[in-house]
Amino acid sequence: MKKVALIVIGVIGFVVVFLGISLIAGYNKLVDVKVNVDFEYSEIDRRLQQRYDTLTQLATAVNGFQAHEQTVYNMITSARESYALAKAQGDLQGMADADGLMSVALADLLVLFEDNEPLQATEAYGDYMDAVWGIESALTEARRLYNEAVKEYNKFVTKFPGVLYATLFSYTSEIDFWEVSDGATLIPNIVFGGQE
Amino acid sequence: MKLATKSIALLALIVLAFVGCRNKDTYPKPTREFYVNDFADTFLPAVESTIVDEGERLNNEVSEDGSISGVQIVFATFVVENELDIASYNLTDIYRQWEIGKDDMGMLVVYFYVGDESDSSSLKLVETRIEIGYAMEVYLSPIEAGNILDDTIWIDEDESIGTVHLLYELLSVVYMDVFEYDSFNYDMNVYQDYLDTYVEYGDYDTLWGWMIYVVLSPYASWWEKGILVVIGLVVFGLGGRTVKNIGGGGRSGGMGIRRRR
Repeated sequence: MKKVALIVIGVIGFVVVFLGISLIAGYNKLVDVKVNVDFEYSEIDRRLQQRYDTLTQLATAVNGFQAHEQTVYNMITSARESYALAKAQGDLQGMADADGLMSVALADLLVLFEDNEPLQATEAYGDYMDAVWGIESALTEARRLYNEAVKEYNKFVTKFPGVLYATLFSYTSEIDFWEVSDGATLIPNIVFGGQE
Repeated sequence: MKLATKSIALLALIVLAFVGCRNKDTYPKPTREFYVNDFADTFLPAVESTIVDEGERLNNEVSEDGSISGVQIVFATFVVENELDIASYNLTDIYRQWEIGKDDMGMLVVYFYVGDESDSSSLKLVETRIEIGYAMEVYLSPIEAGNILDDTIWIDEDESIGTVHLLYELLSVVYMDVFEYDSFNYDMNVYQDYLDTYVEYGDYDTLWGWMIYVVLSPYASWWEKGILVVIGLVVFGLGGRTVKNIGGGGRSGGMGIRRRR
């Protein structure tokens, strides 16, 4: 009789310990994947701000040599405003669209640079291109890492037993990916005075 | 009761072990020296030695207020079949896997070579990249990194000199901008002399002879045997280069620069 009681206590004890550990581990994992998503989101936001600053600086550099320059400058400003509005509304797709719009403005800006021989001859030209390559490379990584973090989060909260934890702790079921139009995610193929 | 407690503890450990088991490494692990990962086998031993020595020295540097330490500059070389294969290497992933620099204060310098992997003399340097840790971005911009590449490895005909020149320029940025040194001086002509006279293994013939004598000779004294034991511990177990250098837990976010030929 005593032996049976010990076994029952042991089994109950095991179940309690197992559930306790599972709950702690599950909750911690949920927090980890969500914090990762939030961190990568903040990285995209930071990189987009950096890109806006860089592009504004570049647009200023080509200032006055062509009428077309004003159009590109307006595109950059417009993309920035769209981004700020979408961010304020929590509209992720709107933010991604504004990101794509900025990429189009960048492509146009680079065309202006290529057509501007006096500017290409300046020492600053290489610096501008380095700045663009650096920020576009970082932004591409930020988008990729955000989407990877979202993928990890979505997988966890939709699979068993993660779905139980997400429901139990009231976490959002799924998060949208950062999707920009094809081509907007490519790093511009910048030529550095004969060297790519 | 004792048995039940033990069973619960064992099962709990098994559950924890399963929860904790993960292995996501995609790229090769860093070498024991950590600061130099010459997978293409193109660096001279003297250059490797310099990178490791300077890397360890920098890693031990602490800012005056103690807020910055553990800065790491890591070099790596890879061989690719053709230039298109370079795209399969994600430097941010490598940086994060190797965890370069404490508090994201690090840099990863990577050389990509094309050619026959078994014949290092046939390898041609086609691309150089610098990946900058998150916190290091404040001190080293892509513009500055690009200018450093242009002024060092990209113009120096000798790759060894170019590599060390690049290392010293990056160190110069770190010591002067991060640790606020007034100056950081180096002389590449002096380094060229060092390179020309560098002997990889030192006077090993004599050392080996002495070691054999101590081990085999009945006339070897106890203090000689003691010295040999200490050397053995240093070389094979406790100190010097055999101590494994490791990353400081740093991460990067794709910021950096590249140069292609």
